[in-house]
Amino acid sequence: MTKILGRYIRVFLCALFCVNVYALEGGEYQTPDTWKRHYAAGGVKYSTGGVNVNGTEFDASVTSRTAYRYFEDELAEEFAYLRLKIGNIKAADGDISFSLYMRGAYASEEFKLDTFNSTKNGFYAERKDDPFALRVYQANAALDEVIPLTVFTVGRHYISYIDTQLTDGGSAEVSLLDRRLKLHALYGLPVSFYESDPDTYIYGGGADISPFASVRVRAEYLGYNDKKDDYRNDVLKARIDGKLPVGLIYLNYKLIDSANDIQAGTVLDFKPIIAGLGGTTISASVRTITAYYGEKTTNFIDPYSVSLGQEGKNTVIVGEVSQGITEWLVISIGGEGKLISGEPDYAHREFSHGYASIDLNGVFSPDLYIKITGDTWLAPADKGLKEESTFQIGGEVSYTLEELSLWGGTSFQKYRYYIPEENRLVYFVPMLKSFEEDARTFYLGGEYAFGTGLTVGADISVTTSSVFSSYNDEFNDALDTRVELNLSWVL
Amino acid sequence: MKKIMIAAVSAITFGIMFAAGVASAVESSKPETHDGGWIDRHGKVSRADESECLSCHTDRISCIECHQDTKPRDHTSAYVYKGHGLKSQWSRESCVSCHTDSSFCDECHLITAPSTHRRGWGGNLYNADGSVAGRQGRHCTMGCHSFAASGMAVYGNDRVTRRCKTCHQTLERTSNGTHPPN
Repeated sequence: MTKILGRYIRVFLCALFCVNVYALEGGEYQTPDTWKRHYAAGGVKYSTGGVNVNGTEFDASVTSRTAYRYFEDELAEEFAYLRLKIGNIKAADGDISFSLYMRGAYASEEFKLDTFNSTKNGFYAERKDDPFALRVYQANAALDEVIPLTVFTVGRHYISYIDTQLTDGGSAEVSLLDRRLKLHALYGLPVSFYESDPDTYIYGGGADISPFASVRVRAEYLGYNDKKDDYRNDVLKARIDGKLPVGLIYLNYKLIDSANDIQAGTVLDFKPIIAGLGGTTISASVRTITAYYGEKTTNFIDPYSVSLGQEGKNTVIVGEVSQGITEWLVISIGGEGKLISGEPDYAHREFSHGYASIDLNGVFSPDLYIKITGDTWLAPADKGLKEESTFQIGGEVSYTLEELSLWGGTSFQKYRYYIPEENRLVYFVPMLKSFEEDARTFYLGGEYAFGTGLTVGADISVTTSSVFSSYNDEFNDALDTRVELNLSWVL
Repeated sequence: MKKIMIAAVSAITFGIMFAAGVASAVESSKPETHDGGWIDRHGKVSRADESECLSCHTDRISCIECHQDTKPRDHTSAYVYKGHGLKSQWSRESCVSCHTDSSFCDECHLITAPSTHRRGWGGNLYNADGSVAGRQGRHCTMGCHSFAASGMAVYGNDRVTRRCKTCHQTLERTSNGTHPPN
């Protein structure tokens, strides 16, 4: 293994220094549309396409995503997206637009969960009573300046004044003081794609003012009223954003019932100051929750209190630095840590997280992008809780021509954790069993654009893992393969 | 199998590297901020002024398509089976950027059994006549109950009970010591 690794390193170093390096304009670089973290044909194209007829915009796109999976059996699922938009219909001095974006999904029979001990349990969960898993993400009409200085939106739309919430309802905004002050009000039902009868409604309003060109101050009140369980959450929010010559700073405050949630942060982007050296990007934030929420908090404020319990008082600090070394090399290092108050629990405990990455862009070709990453999480032992950790390293290569994109990557993940021993109590103390398991993933893919309207892509990923052997010895080093084929058409 | 996979990916990777000697640069319409680290920073920046993002990402289509319907690469079946539980317990923030609705968690956990729940897991703590059962289900010994000197169970252990409550969200104790399903 060492000899093979050494051979690869020698070849890599030779390629690095034996091939002409292409300098990038201005010392900046843009990375391909396809990221390590996600894949879909078409990318941003189907949100910017469309035709213009006498000033009215017509946008339409259809995306099909088909996936096949091979574990024990062949499994298949299909997602289809439809987007329609008619925009900029002139009305008085403003515009009217209609938007529709929806998704349907189909899964083969094998996806549906059945027996108590089936190995499929834990891999997928499909709603048995919803074979097409229809989701409407946007279905709304917007009147922009039809009445001067106002915006009205009705239907299913994203309410986004400080935080973002998909809502069925209406919102209204009016601009005052030469458009430096905006007031808004809203009412509706927050949308859940999983709960069939949430029976919660949201109402509120707020203000957004820019006293100076570089400062923005926002405040908002929201009430969440749960009619089914008969309780209400009051949320007061305030936020200040400041634009700096090199980035931004922000201060965010929330009062949820009687709990304070305070966050401050910054994102700074420094141009190169030394010839030949790249720029520097710094981001940092600190967030403190001084008391956790009340006995009942709606799922739309706190999604995890039911399954994980209330989190408790804690402070989280996050920081990342990216430094361009040359015009084609960037090194990034980041980390975060959590400090808690009170008795630790499996879902209320301290942790530290560190990560690093190397970006190589345009080394062998202006169109070649290489990323190598490492990531580690550690939750230390504390008062009966055992130390637990995960570790991941991986790399990605992407190559983009005008019509063609290719990518490939690999990652190695390790999990170290404890669960109660599956035996009777010994002296009334649960025995903890240690597990250390790993998983390897490989993926390859490509995408081709036929003109400006049609994009076709394919992606295959393979995972081998010893994780499943803790469930059943027959699955030692189980192989899980997924093939995805995507078509995207844009008007 | 692993060696074949490693060799194949490496061969294709280096093949791409050496074949890419002659190519024309591709102009991108993306802003210069959209670099390799942008995917980690874009959330904080978008909250400062979302209108700037929406000029290209119209109607939040890109946001929806990524955050709602596309799994990150590290969400492998191994992650679904084990990793996500660890990370969600340590940091809920790492999940909430996509999983904004806890019903997503509940939907799986209410019908998906963990690996500990094999044969022998169930069973009653007490017999029908109220005496302590001789063959107790393994779940009874996980610390939800401690035992008095008489052998009777004393209900309550917040730490372990909460772990059970991830799925069994209603843990109501009946008179014979059994729990109704969920």
